[in-house]
Amino acid sequence: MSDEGIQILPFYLVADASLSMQADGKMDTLNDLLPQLRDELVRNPVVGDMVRFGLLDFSDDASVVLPLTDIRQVEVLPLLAPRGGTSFVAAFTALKAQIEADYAQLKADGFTIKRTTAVFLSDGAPTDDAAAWQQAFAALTEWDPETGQGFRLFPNLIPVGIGDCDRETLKALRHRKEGEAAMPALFMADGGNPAKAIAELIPLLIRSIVNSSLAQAGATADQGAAAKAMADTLANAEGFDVELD
Amino acid sequence: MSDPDLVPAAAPLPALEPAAEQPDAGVYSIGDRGMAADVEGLPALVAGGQPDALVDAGAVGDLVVRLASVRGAGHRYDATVRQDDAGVAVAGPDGSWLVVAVADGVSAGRLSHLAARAVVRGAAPPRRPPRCRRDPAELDWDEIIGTLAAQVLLLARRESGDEALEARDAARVMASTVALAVVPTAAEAGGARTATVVPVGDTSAWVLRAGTTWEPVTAVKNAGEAVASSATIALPLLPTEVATAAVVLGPGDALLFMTEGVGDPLGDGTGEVAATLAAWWAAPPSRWAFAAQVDFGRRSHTDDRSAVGVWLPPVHRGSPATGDGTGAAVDAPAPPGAPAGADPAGGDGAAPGGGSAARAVTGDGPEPAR
Repeated sequence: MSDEGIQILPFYLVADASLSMQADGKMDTLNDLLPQLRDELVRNPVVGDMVRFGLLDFSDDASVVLPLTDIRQVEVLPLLAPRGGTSFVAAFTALKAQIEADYAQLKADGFTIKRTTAVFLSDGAPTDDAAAWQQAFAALTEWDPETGQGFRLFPNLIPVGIGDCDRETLKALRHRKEGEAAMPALFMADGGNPAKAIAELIPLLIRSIVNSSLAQAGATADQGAAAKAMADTLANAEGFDVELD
Repeated sequence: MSDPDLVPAAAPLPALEPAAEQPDAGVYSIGDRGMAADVEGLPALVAGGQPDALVDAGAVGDLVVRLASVRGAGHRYDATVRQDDAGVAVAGPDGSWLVVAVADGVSAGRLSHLAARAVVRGAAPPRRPPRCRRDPAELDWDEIIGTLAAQVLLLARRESGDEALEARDAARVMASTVALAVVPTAAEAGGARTATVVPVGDTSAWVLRAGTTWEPVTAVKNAGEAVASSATIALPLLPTEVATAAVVLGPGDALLFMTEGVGDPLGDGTGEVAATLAAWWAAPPSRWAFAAQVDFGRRSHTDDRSAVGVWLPPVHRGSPATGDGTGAAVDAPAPPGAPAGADPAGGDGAAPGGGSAARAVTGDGPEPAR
């Protein structure tokens, strides 16, 4: 039996593991997140059948803690431990590489792959300089379908701020920021539960990414023979019956 | 409340053979079934007033018809209604044409199930013959599609209470793709016939050629895309051009229309799902088996599912085309491209077993047969 055409929604959590995450129990909150997410995916089989979950953490460098997997099958979930600074460059670069690697594997296995979603969870501002992380962000998110320039597998990116974070910087990481697939930014007040917020996001993502949506239709109401017929029908709408029952 | 005297004494049920071999037609899977396929959910009638499944079946002329529109696991889990719809009608002099309409309400619209129903009822009205009284090749499909779009827009205005709603905003309230088709209910002398297929959006049409090969009539979705998209064109928005396809069918062929809940897993018509559906549908299944098969479990495919199958008789029982006087059945499909009119696109048509089943996809409609 092949996996051909089975739809996969890749979902990555990119988590800040800098030393500041030790304060105020933020690391514990993060480590509680994985089992709660798994519970949510088990509870909702429609979502669980489709989502593959991956975990990256970053500090001065970034690492793949859990490669893209059916989290329902993982018995022992990893625990994150804090270290060093907060390099967004390391995070974005590692995420891009991992998306490419996982895509190649899934594609080779015959899966149909939906647009990747990544949740970027941080409590602080980047420790690398602005030009550097902005360049890494552009390399991860920019794609021009006309010219084929950029990263065609770009993820939808949802920043989640916990604790006393730099909200403006994190908000700038939303991708895409406009249109039908505009992504939110989430900020957790003290004691807020990011696991619950993220778990609630996933079914919404499924609906917006997986379910059918409207393409930009070609014709407007003043073009073409069909449009004329439509206008004529509307003009004579009185007495027109729409049979439903 | 019952009078004990009127209640007959319970009689024991007769014993059954232990191995009464009744195949279970209720549950079908293709490959990994996933977990979502077994979601119960609220009954659809509780959730929103239309049943979980719509099933119809029967014969029209020499065609056998199977129709099923089944709520997907996603809507079962969410306790929302099926947004697909499907219908058939008979039109033309002496019932010469079977009209098929299959619609997929766009899930981004809250009331898209009403758009799907309106499109189906508009194209294949249940209580009066559809407007198709001419040769389908001569029909003005622009007018038909434009009228259906207006019908959806009017309904969206009524439901939203905003009489000035424009099509683009109406489409956010309700929108539906549709595949329409007109299939002759009798074969021409050689045993072939030409169906006309008109798709708007990604509801697809396929020929199951002699029960073995899937030939796409409509464009295969997401072909060549790195990341699969779910965006589609849907009424009340209009396509830039209303395309029509003429499809030549021979004995033993079937024409299948399906919403993306079936079309997506079918893919390009060459994989495991395609092989399984071809085996199930090489000949018309029972109506219940057809509905259960349309509802097949396959991991991650949780959209609403609709399919209408139209089967031609396996053997043509018309007057012998060669005039050899035997009256014997002609047990051979007509060669492709032989019976119908000129190909307006000037192309070669389709070779069996490869490429598209459509002989012509044009914006102007095919030329009349004969």
